Amino acid sequence: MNKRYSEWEECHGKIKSRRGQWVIGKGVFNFNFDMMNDLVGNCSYMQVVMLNATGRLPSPELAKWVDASHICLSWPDPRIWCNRIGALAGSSKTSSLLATCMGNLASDSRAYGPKTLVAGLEFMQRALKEVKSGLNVEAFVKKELAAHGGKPKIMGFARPIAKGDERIPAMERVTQDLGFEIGEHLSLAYQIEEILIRDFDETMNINGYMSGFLSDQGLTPHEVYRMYSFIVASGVTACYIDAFERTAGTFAPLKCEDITYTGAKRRPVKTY
Amino acid sequence: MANKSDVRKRDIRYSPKLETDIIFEKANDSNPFLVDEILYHGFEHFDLMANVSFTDMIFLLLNGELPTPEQSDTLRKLSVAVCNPGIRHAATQAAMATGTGRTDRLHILPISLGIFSGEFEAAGGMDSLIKDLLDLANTSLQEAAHKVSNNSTNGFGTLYGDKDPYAEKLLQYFCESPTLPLLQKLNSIQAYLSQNNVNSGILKQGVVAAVLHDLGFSEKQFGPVFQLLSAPGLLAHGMEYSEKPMSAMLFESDEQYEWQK
Repeated sequence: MNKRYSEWEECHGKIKSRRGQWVIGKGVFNFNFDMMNDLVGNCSYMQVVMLNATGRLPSPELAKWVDASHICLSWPDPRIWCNRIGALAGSSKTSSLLATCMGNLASDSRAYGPKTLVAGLEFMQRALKEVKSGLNVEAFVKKELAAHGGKPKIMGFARPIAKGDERIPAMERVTQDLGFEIGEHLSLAYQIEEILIRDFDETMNINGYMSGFLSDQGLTPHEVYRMYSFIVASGVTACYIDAFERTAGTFAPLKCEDITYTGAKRRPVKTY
Repeated sequence: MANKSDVRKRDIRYSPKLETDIIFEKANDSNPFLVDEILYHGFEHFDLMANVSFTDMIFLLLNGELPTPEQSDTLRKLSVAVCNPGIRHAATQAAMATGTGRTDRLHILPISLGIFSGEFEAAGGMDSLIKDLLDLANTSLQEAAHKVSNNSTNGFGTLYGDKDPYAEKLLQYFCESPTLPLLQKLNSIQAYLSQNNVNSGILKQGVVAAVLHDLGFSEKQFGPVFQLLSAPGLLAHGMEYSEKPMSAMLFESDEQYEWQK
């Protein structure tokens, strides 16, 4: 076999999977689980979502925590970018599935959504490493601020649109009720927050809280990105339905005069 | 008799190979995954690159033949006519929300084209539209006016409560071509509606469907082709807003927000 393309030749005409298989007549297998007998009725949907995303079946408590965090991260206000897309889809009379997928896809953003959790977890895991290697928290924060022109633009802290974050007390309650301890990442996040409150009146945001907690659970940034792939979906669906049930085109309709044109003046097309 | 919980494979013969009329890829002699030559519906790729436009290529890919010069010119004009749904369109607003929301720029088109699949001022529902337009074209002007007034003809109607003056302009523009007979018939109906002060008229979807019909596209292709041709404007608005601060996008104040509990 030609070595240059042997890897592709080896895969030609077959499907390889490390995940599972539907063996017709025998069952549906997911890693080492028989889905219908081991998982259905014994696990929550979120446990299976996390199994599919990470390859590990989490505890019911951790899945419950992740489930609760989804409620924090998606709500039915169509002014939020992804939700606006859902509402626009409803007002355009598309299907709810399309609206939910497109709004959810919009959360693949560097400003909000699961990608920001990647940056959040990377930051928290790097922060703990640096602090453990001898840098004190105050010096670490000073270094991070310097990298951002002295502004408190640190992933997981401060928040666009509003100051403060009502979702953290809710998740702190969930963390406590489910019996989780505050681990070393989350503890460091609180210490960083104290400094930012003192110097900038800026607090930790839900990303910072989640990044600290999920890092303490041994999850990698990319596992978390995959777990939260449908992070904003339910709020998008809600906004879609609200707009869909109204007359077409009535979601935030714009008049011509609502747009300020700042382009070139009228000019003819040159013909050659 | 099988137990109802038994799951058995159906005897379905799946094709062992994919087949297509669209592309032929001649394999490279030393690596069968690489290509040495490409034909599209029999035309050599570099020959096409040298001699046809992007819209000609769309025509070829979807219809299997290159367009005639008249068809080429009409499709080129249509592609310019509908290249941008406009900044106020829901799909464009979605593109802008995607851009300004710092979503990956590669998602601007999938998201906005998704919204453009809706039925309001967009590509949704167009495959059932041509039947109505052909029925309309085959009736008397009086009967056509009656049908349009009763909102029983897809492709005609009102937009924001009135007939759409810009769609009417597009209709008039395209019906100047003698090779677009359905367009010309619809233009006669439109003129009759205007003379009789009927506050209903051709909509943009109607113009697009009639042009594509006269070009020989199948009705199943109307919506997806309309979607494809609208992509440049959606992309442009999304890209423009991806460069602006997040505060550049609308975010209505709480005073503007009515929670209808």
